Amino acid sequence: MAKIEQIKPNCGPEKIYVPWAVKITSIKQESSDSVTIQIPFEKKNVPGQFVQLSIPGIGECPISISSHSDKFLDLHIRIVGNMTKAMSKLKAGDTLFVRGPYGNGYPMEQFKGKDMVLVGGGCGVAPLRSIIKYVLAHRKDFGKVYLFFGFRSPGEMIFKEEIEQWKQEKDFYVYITVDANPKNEKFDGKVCFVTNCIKDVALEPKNKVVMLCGPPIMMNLAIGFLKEKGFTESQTYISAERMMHCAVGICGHCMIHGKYTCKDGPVFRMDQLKE
Amino acid sequence: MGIKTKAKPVRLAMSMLHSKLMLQTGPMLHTRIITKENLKKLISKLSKTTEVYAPLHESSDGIIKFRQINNSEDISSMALDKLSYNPAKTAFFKKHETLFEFDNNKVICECVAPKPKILLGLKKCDLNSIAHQDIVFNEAKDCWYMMQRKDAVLIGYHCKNEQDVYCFCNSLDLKDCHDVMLYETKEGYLVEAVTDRGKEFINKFKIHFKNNKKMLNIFADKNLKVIKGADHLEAKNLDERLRKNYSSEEWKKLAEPCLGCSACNILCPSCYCFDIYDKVSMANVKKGKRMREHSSCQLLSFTDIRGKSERASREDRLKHRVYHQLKYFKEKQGVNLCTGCGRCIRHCPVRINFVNIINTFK
Repeated sequence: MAKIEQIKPNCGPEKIYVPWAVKITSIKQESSDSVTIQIPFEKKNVPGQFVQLSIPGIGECPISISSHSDKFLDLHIRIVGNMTKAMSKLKAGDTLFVRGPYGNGYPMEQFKGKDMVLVGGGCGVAPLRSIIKYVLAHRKDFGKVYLFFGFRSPGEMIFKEEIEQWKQEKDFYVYITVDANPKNEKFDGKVCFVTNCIKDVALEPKNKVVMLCGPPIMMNLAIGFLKEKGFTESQTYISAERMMHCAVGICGHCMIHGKYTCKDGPVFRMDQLKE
Repeated sequence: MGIKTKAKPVRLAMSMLHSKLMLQTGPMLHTRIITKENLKKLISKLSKTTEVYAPLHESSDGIIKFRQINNSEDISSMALDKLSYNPAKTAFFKKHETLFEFDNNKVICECVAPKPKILLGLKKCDLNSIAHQDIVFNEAKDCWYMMQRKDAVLIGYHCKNEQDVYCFCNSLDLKDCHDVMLYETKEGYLVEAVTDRGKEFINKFKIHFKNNKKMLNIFADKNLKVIKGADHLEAKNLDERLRKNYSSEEWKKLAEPCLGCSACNILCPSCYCFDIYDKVSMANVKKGKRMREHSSCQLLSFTDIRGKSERASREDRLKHRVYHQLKYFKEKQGVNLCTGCGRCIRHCPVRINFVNIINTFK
């Protein structure tokens, strides 16, 4: 009759909603309202994909992958609700439940030989970090890398040490902005919107791909400025943010005009989204 | 798991072949007659070992409910010819369902094989909506659904006429998705088994069915499978008309009286959206269940991210429902999700009739 079984990571495709337990390797305070959690994870994943993290009794939420490795995952979590708040209070060694990876991810193979333009706003920088990690791991396959990252204030800046390292990389052009610096904190960059920064930098559209992730208003403005420079929709990719429940393309919460963000996205090429 | 998405076209092709053969050589072996008395006897027998669902006339509130038959009173209150108030989907896609249980960081997934199910008195719209849910849940390999659906026998009831002015199944391109179909006659029902599962069912309970030579003439009648009326949606160039009129002012007017009650979604036989949440007891928050529950795209909170709804206006939410039913699903799966049962209009407390609006679109 009743068959009880313990679920393991390789539980098969049938148990699609059942997560497995992992022990947190490390947890790092990234900014005043965000943390980065590292967990062991041996499934193949590509930049732009996400996992469903859960704490039994509290709930489940989608978190984008901000690393590129088949050993572990870095997950940047901004504290916005119950679930993210509960996760931020965990410590190294605590148990967290995970299932995934889900989503299409960026078509990195197609970008070979091209220059990369990454535009990120706030915690939208997190999924873009996985692209940078990928590019650094396959450096010969890619050309120049332009980073346009905007934050609200220096205190909300994430991946600070790494951004400093990226500035030293060859053929990396790093532009960091903050909207305001009310506390006059130490900050090496411009005080303006990141979109205005794009406007001021000379960029040739030829042989480039643009990847954007951030608040919709920032992405819309950035796309507008890039269009003025001659960038087309077929070379522009955005990463959409929605609250997934099932993550396998059924539950409907993440549907945008008939497309499931969890399955058809979260990465969309602009011209495909317009259809 | 028994059901695969690929099985569907094969099944449809089989039924088409079957009807072709019938026209040439008369009824095949799998057409029978059953008297109303015998059908009741058969159901009484079946309900002891299997879960039998049918539209039942509830004496308490006068509503035709599609639910499980529990006793002999239920059998006598069967209303096979009526379209039930609630859809049949809850037999497979449970309203509340436990996905797994957890106890102090241990996950326990209990798999209890359900009793086989027989669904009786399904109308063409209900049958097609089950086929559409099959597509969705099979594609995602959702074993919670597949387990319930696996051995179920779908027994249809053929509507001779539309139920009321809200029916529009004939406007949509519906298929034959039944295992067995009942055609009501004066004496009882003509029974037609289409799929292997349906044939097996008839053979298993053959003592209740009769073979009759008269059937030859009845099945040769082309009008047997016709549903009169039920074409209130103007379906000509529907895709094109919907595409052109996405920004029409009419949508705003239509959504004006919407209460956001989500009855349309809950009563829709095709809608399959759900929420996943954790249910815990107050005594021990580390022990509980991860549940899934029917949800509705008409609720403001449905698309919440970071406490803000992505479809904040009722107009957007209403449009999303209609476009998902009549456009988005078709683009992906090749069939309209909507099957024209009209429940969402018939039971809407403010009678929002999207069919009328679409009919005005040029």
